[in-house]
Amino acid sequence: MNILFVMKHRGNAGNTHSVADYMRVAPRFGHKVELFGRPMSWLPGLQFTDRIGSIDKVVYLFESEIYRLSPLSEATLYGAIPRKDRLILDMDGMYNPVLCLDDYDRNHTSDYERARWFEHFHAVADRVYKPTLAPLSNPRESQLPYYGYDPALETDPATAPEKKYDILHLGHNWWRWRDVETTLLPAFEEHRRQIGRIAFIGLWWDKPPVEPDSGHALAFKSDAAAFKRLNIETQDSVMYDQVIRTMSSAKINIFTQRPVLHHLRHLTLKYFEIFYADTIPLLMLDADHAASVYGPAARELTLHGRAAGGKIVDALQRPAHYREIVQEVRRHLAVHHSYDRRMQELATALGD
Amino acid sequence: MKLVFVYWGFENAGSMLDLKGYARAAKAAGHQVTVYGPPGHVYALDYSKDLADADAVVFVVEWTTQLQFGDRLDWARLISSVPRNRRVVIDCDGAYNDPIAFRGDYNHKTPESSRAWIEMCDSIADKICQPTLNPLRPNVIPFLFHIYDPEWETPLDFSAKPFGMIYVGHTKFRWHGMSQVLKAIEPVRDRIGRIGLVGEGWDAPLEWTEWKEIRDDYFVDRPYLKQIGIEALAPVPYKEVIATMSSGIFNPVIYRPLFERLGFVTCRTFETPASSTIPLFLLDADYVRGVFGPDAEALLLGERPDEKVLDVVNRPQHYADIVLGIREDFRQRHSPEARLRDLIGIIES
Repeated sequence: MNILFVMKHRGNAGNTHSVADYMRVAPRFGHKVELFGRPMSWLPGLQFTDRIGSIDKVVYLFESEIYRLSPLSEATLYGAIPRKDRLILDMDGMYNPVLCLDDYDRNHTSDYERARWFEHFHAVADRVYKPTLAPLSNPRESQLPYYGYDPALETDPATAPEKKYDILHLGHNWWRWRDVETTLLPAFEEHRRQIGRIAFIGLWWDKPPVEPDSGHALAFKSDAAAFKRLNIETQDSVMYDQVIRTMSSAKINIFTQRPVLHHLRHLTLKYFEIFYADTIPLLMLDADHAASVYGPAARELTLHGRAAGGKIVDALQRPAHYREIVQEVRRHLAVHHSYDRRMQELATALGD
Repeated sequence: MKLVFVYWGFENAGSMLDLKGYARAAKAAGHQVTVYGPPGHVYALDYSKDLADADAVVFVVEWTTQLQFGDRLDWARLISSVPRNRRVVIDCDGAYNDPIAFRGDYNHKTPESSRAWIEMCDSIADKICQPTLNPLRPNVIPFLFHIYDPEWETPLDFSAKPFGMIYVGHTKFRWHGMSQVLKAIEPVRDRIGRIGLVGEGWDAPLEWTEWKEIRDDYFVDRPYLKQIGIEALAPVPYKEVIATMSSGIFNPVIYRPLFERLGFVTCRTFETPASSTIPLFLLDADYVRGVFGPDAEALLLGERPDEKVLDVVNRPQHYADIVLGIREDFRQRHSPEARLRDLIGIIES
């Protein structure tokens, strides 16, 4: 089966990496995965095509903006691939009622915007798949965990980079500030002298995007003065193929998830990438949810409220103990979230 | 049968009059024609986005198809509305071909563009038509699409024409033909009367046609026009095309070189004989005989174009008989009713 992904090409975002993983795994199952478009020099590891003659199925991977192709390309795809052979992946929870959590993160800014998205979904395909473990209520929706784990990508400590940082947060500042402000900064403040270098790598930790219409201002909120006071370094984003190696340059990596997706129990690639890295992941997730994804051992890796600072210091002081937990989680992921399983699930969803 | 036409209309260009003719013929025959789009559109066609009971979708594809920046989900809806074998593409610009370059004109700038258009047409419909009797690609159905509407016919009265020559059309790829017409007229210029060129770009270039990539396509030697006393006039809405053409004793009929190469008919092929004017052809003689009939050979500019032009200006009524003959033939073969029958035949084939 030849599967074509249609999505925005972003080298510094997780979904691009996930498609690269599917490209790698697909041939083992007699499938081929490509991205729609022309080859891009800055994404050398990805297979692109704009020749759709041999395409059997199309996966529209929707994120938080409606991504459009050229009119000719859209018409060609809609004409060549029947509805029954199209599938939508709703990665950012747009196929939901308007959600606004604690007057902060939201999937849509208005009912009008939601209606526009729904019109788009319904025009393109009959089924919407969500990368969630949570039960779904809409009969058009189905679960498709989508993201997977490949033990072959685990970083060998012998070849891992030097540990420059004690703590790293790798990811863009997009609806993350509330977690950072309410949990992480107080924890750092309390234990700063026991912690070495701290870095936040990704976009918008210093300032919001300058492009107009970039989105809700709250999504990019930051506090440069607090970062300076706590001696927290910031650094620009890295390409998808450098994420794991960069994470491996820190003893601890902290995982945050935007509140709407956490609320919806959506998985993201970062859930899995962080366990490829030679690091101790500390997870800002609900413990039950973490256990449902990673197995019961992962409860001990979760960070919560005022206990977060103590957990961070404990992980720095007892790395061997936490590494054992990480190994147990890795074993769980290999069994329950393998890309082989994901590939089969995707093929089933596509009606193979 | 409910036929839905998909067409990106412009007030002063394209196939608007054709669609009005199809709509009228359909109503008379118990069918229905709508043009896909929001109701209340300014062009007085029956616009509707209701596809619930559509029996066929006809994509009228021109260069403007690329401009559909709006809610492009329309493509998805249209394609879902009827099966492939009830969808028809009318390729009015010859894009459904390999790259062709002819006398400075071309259908595609790159092989890649050709491939993309062919792939698009093949993906949305089983039936691809071109307005020519001799398509180059074997799977293309010859279907002339543009109509001759007897309602356009204007009495051939030459008693009070404000212009000796008038031309209605824009400048894209037209200078090759127009310059030949004007050179032919030059020796007798002072005996022709007023000459008007009506359309975008004759008086001054539109800003977007000055882009380096396409500037040559819209070339016009404006100092030369001024030198020989040509009036460059503003474009007219499609409803005024026939009346404007009727303001001249003769209208030169020139095509884009590409369309001549492909043997295409255009809106103007049928609008000109319906106007109160004498068409003078700067086209291949075989093509003129094939489309307009053997008598139309007398309307070729020919080897002594200055003499031909002068004769037409001096004796228009003599040539009017040929035009009447063309009209008679066109009423039978190219009426909206005849075209609609052919189109339905293609849909049902």
